[in-house]
Amino acid sequence: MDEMTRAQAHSASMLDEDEDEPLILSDLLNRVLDKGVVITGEVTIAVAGVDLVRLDLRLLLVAVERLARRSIGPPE
Amino acid sequence: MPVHLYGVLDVQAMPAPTLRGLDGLPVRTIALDTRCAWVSDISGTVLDATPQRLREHDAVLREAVAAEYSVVPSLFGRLHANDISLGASLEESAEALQEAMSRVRGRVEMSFLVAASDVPPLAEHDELGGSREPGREHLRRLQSQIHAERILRDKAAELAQTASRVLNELFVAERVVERPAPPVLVARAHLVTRENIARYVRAVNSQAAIADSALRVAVRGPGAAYSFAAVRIG
Repeated sequence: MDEMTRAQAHSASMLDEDEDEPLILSDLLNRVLDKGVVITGEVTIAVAGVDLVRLDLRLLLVAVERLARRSIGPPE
Repeated sequence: MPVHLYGVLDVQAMPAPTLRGLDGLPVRTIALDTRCAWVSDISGTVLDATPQRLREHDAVLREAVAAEYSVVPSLFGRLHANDISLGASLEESAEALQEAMSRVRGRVEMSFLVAASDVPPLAEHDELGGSREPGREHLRRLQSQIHAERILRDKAAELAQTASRVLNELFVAERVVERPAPPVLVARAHLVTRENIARYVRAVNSQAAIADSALRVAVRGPGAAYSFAAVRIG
């Protein structure tokens, strides 16, 4: 099913593993990556060779953790 | 040797000999009573998250789903010291695994993503060269772009809400993805029985057909149920 080619404009398409890399990467980051552990690495989301988002996962996770602490801790 | 866990299958099933996992490594099984875990042996002690590895992890589980096994997926990001350590962790999580397996039996994860049809072009420096106030002009364009993105995001959210209502009878559970990574504006994942996969795709298609032309709707799946049954092992 995933190999279905992109449907015409204005209709939903199954994602093409090669052509839709930015969307697939976004989907993988959203669903597959365990945000509950400290991991290292960089993920860059690019379209047509232009970097859109560059995530340093270690920094991102630390930042998220700090935010979570702040939200449940006493006001600073 | 450290092992990477892809997921746990409801039966003892060998992966296809040609199946490759992280970094092109072979995938093997660890027997667990009537079930089994699909794993790869990793040479290092640190596993960096890269786009390629995320795809490889997912691809292994999609193979299992395509073969119609029920799969409790492992999220990417944990490495286990060895088979014994992993076995002990799986044993500790037996109850959660059992519950997750019941949830995914005969079901898969489908998701739909809403993104902008085209990536908005960034203003070239040259285009600003003729302006008397290039700084102000740049900020004005930036503000306009942010405003347009906000409108698009609202439209995407509205579309997703409508689509969820239409899909309601086709899924048994829904997860709204919080702040999805760009370029996706809105994403929703659904736990769907196998017989409803085609209907799910058609239903999303029908919503996409009447969506704003500035939005693109895409379907992903069938895949492992990360959003509904992933169990943290270890």
